[in-house]
Amino acid sequence: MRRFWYLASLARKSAWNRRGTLALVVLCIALSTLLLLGIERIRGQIRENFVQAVSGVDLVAGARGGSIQLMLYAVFHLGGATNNMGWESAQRIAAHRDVAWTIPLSLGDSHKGYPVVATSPDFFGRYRFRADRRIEFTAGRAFDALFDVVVGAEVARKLGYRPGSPLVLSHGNSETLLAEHADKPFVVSGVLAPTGTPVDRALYISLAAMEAIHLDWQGGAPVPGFRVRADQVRKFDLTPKSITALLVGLKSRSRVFALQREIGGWKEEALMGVMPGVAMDQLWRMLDTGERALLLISALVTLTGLAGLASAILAGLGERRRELAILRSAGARPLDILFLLACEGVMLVFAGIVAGLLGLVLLLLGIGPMLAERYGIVLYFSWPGREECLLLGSIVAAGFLTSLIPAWRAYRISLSDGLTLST
Amino acid sequence: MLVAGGVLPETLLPEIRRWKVSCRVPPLGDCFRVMSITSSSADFAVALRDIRFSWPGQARPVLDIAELLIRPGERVFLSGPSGGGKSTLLGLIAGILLPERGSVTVGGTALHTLGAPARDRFRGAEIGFIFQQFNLVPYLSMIENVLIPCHLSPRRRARALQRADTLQEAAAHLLARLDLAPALWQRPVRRLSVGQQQRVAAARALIGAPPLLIADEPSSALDADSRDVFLKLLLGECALAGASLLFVSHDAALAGAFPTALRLDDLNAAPREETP
Ligand SMILES: Nc1ncnc2c1ncn2[C@@H]1O[C@H](COP(=O)(O)OP(=O)(O)O)[C@@H](O)[C@H]1O
Ligand SMILES: [Mg+2]
Repeated sequence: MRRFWYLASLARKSAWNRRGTLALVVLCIALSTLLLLGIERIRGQIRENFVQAVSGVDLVAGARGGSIQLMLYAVFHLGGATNNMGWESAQRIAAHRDVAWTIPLSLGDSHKGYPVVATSPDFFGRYRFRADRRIEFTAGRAFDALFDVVVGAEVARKLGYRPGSPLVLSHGNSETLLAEHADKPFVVSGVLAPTGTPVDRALYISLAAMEAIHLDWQGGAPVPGFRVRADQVRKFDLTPKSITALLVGLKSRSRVFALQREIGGWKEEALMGVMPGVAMDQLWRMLDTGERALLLISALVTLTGLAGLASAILAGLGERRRELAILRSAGARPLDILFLLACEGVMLVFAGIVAGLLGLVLLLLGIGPMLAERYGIVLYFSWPGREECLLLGSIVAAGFLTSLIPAWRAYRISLSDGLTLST
Repeated sequence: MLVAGGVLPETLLPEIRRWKVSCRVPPLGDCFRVMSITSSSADFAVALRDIRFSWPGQARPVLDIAELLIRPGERVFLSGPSGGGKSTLLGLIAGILLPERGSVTVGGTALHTLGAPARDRFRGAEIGFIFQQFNLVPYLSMIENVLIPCHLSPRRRARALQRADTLQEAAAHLLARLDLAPALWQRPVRRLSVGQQQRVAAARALIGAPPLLIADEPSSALDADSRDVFLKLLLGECALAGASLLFVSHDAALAGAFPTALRLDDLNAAPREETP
């Protein structure tokens, strides 16, 4: 046992002695570890983020089009805008005998880069995330007056809003002054508790308010020569004409296919009903191809790293024949030499993996805030799971097998060289 | 040829062996061979009998030695031309190589009857080895280089600790005796002079008091001055430890420093390779 510790310490010192040459190999292995684990981890966490963002919704109804696009836009406020669906159709769905509840969503405006969602007050009571958690207020309450706005936790934190704070919405995603609804300022009525979902990054107003601020707008610009002051809007009919999507909860989940078919078949308007789980699956399947390509590339990087490892150690063997003969003369067996070299290889693989894991942590710390900022995707720390341990294990196993190549060569050398060594 | 076993009185044996060993009296060889059969190989530090060895793929044997005997504590110089098979012979004595036939007995242990792991263990415990040059592991410190055998052989370790409290102390003691000042000990071994390197190698061979030291051209890379210093120190330490020494060189001029000198050509019946 003591002998093996000694040989291991020799391997360590030898590797350290040649650290200049071996650093590249370690770097390569670190990179491949980072890629393999990073892809696995980010994929898993993004998926979890998406899955946990909304629950209990049986169908998302909207204008006919791409189902993934509708999901991404309506629920996650990502990607390009979809066509709107008529308010009549939304009401028709809400009145359907199988439907328990509906939440209308109308998007399009923004505030300092955060999306503004017009919805019904039901939203706060109905919306569920992370299996069965509901939305809570840390301060204030739901919108009540026409120009009330409820802000998500992150919006409140970043922009310092409290109930009573005034704010102005922008038209569309632009932040130019021209496109501001400056004539109709809002007042914060409530602040939501953090949820770890896109809710944190959104502002919520009533559908009527959304209608009100667009009374004097046509398309992307104010209608020239036509102004409706904030105190005049109540004279108009503020019933929405259209919305982006309708979240639908059923009395019985078994009716979901029937309702989906029914909505899809309506003559009056080209609509569709999307089952969130199915749309998500489609999204993952689309991404899977890309992920698999990335995984393949990472596997190739790993192979390159291991090949580099083997060749770096092999290349060093020539000048180490002396050293091996010295060890042999002092009583080392050829198998000891095999162990020494294999040990060196495995140590390098371990060093690479540790460096890769460190790099991964730094990377996640680095891009985590960016992901949260831009996409509302929250990365969190967790110990490597079963899959990741399997990946790590296979890197170590592959590294061990690769190390056996130079080790076997050294074994042969020390057998044939013995103590006589042509210099 | 078979004289009645052991007619010569025991007291004469060393004298006759000296003749044989220095090969000054070839006619006596036959008589001597008969004599030595009667004395057991176990009485010698090294006893080779009827050895034949050829490298794989070579038709001609490199070594064909009827007998080579070294008594315990004897310090023997063995000279021979380059390529003559000196290193091969040392490989046989060190248990790295096995003879095609014949017996190799070192310190009473018949190496040719042992398996490879047992021979490796034996070498680590009982033999100190010094090479021609580049004798040191470059990434180890001077003390670490000296201590290599103690880590690979429990017996070397145990014997080293009989004389010192710690291995470090044992190594330091030897280094000091070999004229290597403590100021040098932290220096990377690559930056030592060749003479200093060879003295570190000698300390490594001596640590843990192996009964036999084997030196394969250890002074060939040294200039005359450091060679003389090295020889003096090595011989002195061997005498002090009571170790047998087999010192090999192609430079026959060194023979004078040794009590016993042999020429491989005299021992080896294998025909030299003709030089074209
Ligand atoms: N490892 C080896 N494999 C094959 N042949 C060898 C090997 N080592 C030495 N020889 C051959 O054995 C002969 C004796 O070599 P060696 O014992 O090294 O001589 P010396 O040490 O006297 O110079 C040479 O002809 C050499 O080519
Ligand atoms: Mg030689």
